[in-house]
Amino acid sequence: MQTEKNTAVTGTCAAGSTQTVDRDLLSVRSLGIQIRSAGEPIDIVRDVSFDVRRGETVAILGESGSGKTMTGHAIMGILDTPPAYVSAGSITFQGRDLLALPDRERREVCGRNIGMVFQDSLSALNPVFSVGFQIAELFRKRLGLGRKEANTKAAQLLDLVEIPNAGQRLKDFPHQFSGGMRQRVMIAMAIALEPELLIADEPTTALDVTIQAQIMDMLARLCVEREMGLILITHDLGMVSEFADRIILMYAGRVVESSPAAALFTASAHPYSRALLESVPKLADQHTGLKVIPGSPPDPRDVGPGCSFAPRCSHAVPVCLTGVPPTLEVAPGHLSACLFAEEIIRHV
Amino acid sequence: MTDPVIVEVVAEAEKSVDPHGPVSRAEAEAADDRSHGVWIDAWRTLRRKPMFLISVGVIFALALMAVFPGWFASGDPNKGVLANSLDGPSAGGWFGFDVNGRNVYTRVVYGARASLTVGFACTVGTTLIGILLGATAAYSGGFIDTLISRIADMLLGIPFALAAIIVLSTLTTFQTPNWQVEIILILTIVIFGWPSIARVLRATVLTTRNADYVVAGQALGLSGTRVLFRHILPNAVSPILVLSTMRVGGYIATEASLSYLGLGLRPPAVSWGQMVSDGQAYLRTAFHVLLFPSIFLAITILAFVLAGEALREALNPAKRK
Amino acid sequence: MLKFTGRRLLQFIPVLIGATIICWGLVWALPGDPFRGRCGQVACSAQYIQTMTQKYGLDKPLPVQYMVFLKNMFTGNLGQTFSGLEISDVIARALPVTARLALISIVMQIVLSAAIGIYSGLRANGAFDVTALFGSLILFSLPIFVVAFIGQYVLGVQLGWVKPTVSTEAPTSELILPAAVLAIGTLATLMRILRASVEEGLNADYLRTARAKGFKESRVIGVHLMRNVMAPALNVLGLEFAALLGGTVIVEGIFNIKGIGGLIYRAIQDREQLTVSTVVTLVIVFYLVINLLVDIACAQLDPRSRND
Repeated sequence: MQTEKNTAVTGTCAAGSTQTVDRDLLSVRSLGIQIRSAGEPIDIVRDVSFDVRRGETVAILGESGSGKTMTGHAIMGILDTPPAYVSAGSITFQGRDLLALPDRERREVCGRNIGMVFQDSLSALNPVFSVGFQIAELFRKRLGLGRKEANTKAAQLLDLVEIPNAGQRLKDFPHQFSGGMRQRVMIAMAIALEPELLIADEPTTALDVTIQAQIMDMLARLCVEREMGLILITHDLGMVSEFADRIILMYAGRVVESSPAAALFTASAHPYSRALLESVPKLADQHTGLKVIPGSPPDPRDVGPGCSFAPRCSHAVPVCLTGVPPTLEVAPGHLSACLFAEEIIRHV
Repeated sequence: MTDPVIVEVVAEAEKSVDPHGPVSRAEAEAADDRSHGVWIDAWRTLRRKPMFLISVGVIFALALMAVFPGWFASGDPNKGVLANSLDGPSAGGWFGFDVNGRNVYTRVVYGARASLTVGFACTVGTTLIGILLGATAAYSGGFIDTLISRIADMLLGIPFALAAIIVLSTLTTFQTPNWQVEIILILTIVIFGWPSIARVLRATVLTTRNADYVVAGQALGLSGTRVLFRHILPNAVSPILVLSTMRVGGYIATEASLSYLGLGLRPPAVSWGQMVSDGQAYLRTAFHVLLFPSIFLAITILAFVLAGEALREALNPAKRK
Repeated sequence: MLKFTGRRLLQFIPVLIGATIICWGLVWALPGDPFRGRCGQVACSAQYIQTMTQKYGLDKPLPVQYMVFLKNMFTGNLGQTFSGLEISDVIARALPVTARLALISIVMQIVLSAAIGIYSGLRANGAFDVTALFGSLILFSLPIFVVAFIGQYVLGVQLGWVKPTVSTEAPTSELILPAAVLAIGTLATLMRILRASVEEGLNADYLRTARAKGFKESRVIGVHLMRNVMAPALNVLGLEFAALLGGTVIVEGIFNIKGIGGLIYRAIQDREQLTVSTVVTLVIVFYLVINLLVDIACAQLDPRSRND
């Protein structure tokens, strides 16, 4: 395992300046997650490294099953243990190693320093409590506020996430809200304790396109206003291009490319990102038919020793199948885990 | 005497039918075949389950006992030698003798018939009427649905055991012949027992009818009867089968309890409940008179409950690994 | 919530009327003579039957009879047993014992099934869970009178820990065994529904959300999971009342408790039709009211079941 190579992932803005040190929020190094069911442990996430700064939006992009949600859960400390557990690496938040913290302090971080917005708001909200209770609960149990004060703050929050009639809606239950409104409640809950970092796991998948845009605009606004770091877990290329500052592209549990957002679209340096971009239908070539990546992602149980994408890759050579390719820095802050990264980036 | 599993079974019936997800022609056809698949899978699972095999074996042995008691025990269950009165288990009488010197083992063997007859007849009766009325309610909708559902509510509002107690204490006397008592007993249980089956069936039909693969089947031009028999009914059969199997035990317990209360079968007919009732006077001196019919009763009920439990696990895809 | 309660009340009234009609009709309106068999092995004299028919108003048309029955129920004028006692007095004497017995039994049932059911749900498929599941099926298979006799024999006769039968004053200590027997009959179902809901709830997304909010595990399980488990459990508890009420007839008979169940038991044996029908009707009304309250409580606990 080469761990040294991951240390120098730098961001879009002012690499190396003294200011960045203070703005560092989260730093994930060589994170590995395994699932132990009956027999051998299965690697779900391997060697994942990235950083998030204040006010920065980092997108973790990948297909379902690529390990992006698990990575989010690991940062939050809410992996379903057992069977899933962190098997390697470190997660450092504002200078503290989260994985080394005792349970009690780890819980303190949840909600207060890192908030999380879940994918399916209907099942993620408790069906038998009113939304007012579920938000006010945070103020009462975490900040020790009284019932009345907590309710007032909950109403203000619903107002902040643009829910009409916030005061009256506190009494309503999750199933009485529309999908978009419910996701706003989720967001209100995640930012209630003013965390420095927000993890949004596919925050808009279940919603209409117009509602998606509203929700994302609101998230972006909140991040700017509060200088929050945002980890946006998604499979939506369009959303990434619009909202992300950096993109971490994952495939079969590994980071294959990590770059400033624009660079992925203009100068991608990995065959997988190339293929992914080409598979997006464009108006211009509506007669050529949809381009697809041949094959399908590997089952995590039988990922070979080499590059996980190699079996589907048009550039692959035999050596790709025997060893994990080193991560190359093709441009400042632009990393690619491909032997041919330099070649591909030049071949725009 | 309870109505134990209905809540769980209804909940599972509703869950097992997943009405979501996109459906292609291939999937609609696959769903068409799944009625076979489910049963074959279930049989494969069951074949390897010792619990299921043992309970089915026990049920089979009891059925033989009910039909051919002479194969298992010699002698007349009602003839006793007073000299043996209340003697404990011995080589001459494995389960001992009762107060009249009758062989308890012989009587236990002959008692299987009453229990299984009532259990079987009640199950067939409640299941048939329940399916008929449940399907009628679900298909007709409107007034008929409301009528059937409300009648079911009323009948379910009367605790089962109390209803049977009232009917039998009104309709039978000491002079009523046993066959009449048995028919009245079975009819009472059927009348008060069908609503729970009907509810399950109605719920399943209503959920299944709107399931995407059924709608898709209709849209693809499968005929109405084909949709009904190949898609809707197979979905309703498994919860009903599970519920019915488990309830056989409940009916047998009801018969035994009523016989125990003196409201069921009377001598010369032999029934386990009545044997327990006779034995209670000798609780202190000859516990075996009460013990052996109780054990048989418990084993019989347990066999049906375990068989039902195994069926439920086998037919519930969510629980299979 | 108010709307739900109102609608539920409106549904309750026809069921209540229907159930009492069925119950009353079973005794008085079925073909056959309710006084048959009251004179032992010989047929009753025509004069006796005529007197009794007039006394109990059986010569009037059926609807009138039912209205009289209803009126009597409401005014508390329940009539007399065949042996001339006021039925209301008989009930008033029996009720306190049964109330205590049922209360002890329900407390036992809730405590035991909650402890076992929740624990096995939290450790689903572990050794404890499998044992408890199998044990619950065995308990469920034992008819209540078998449990009663085993308890009476083992604890009362063999070990001598308790008195095998209950004395007339029925002190609470003597009611523990009968209450336990009653509880065992209904324990299994409640336990299993709790286990199933806990196991299902543990995989629910809302628990992950609660953990992400930084709450202690005790709050995640104790508040967020438990509130979701309560409605189905309460629902089953309400339905299990039927078994409990049926069970008291047998248990009070076996342990010689002078309660409502024992009253029904003896009335059956003495063929006291009016007493049986009156008491059973009251018991059914009680059962329906309990289930109405359970429904309302469930709607309070789980807003989704209100569908308004």
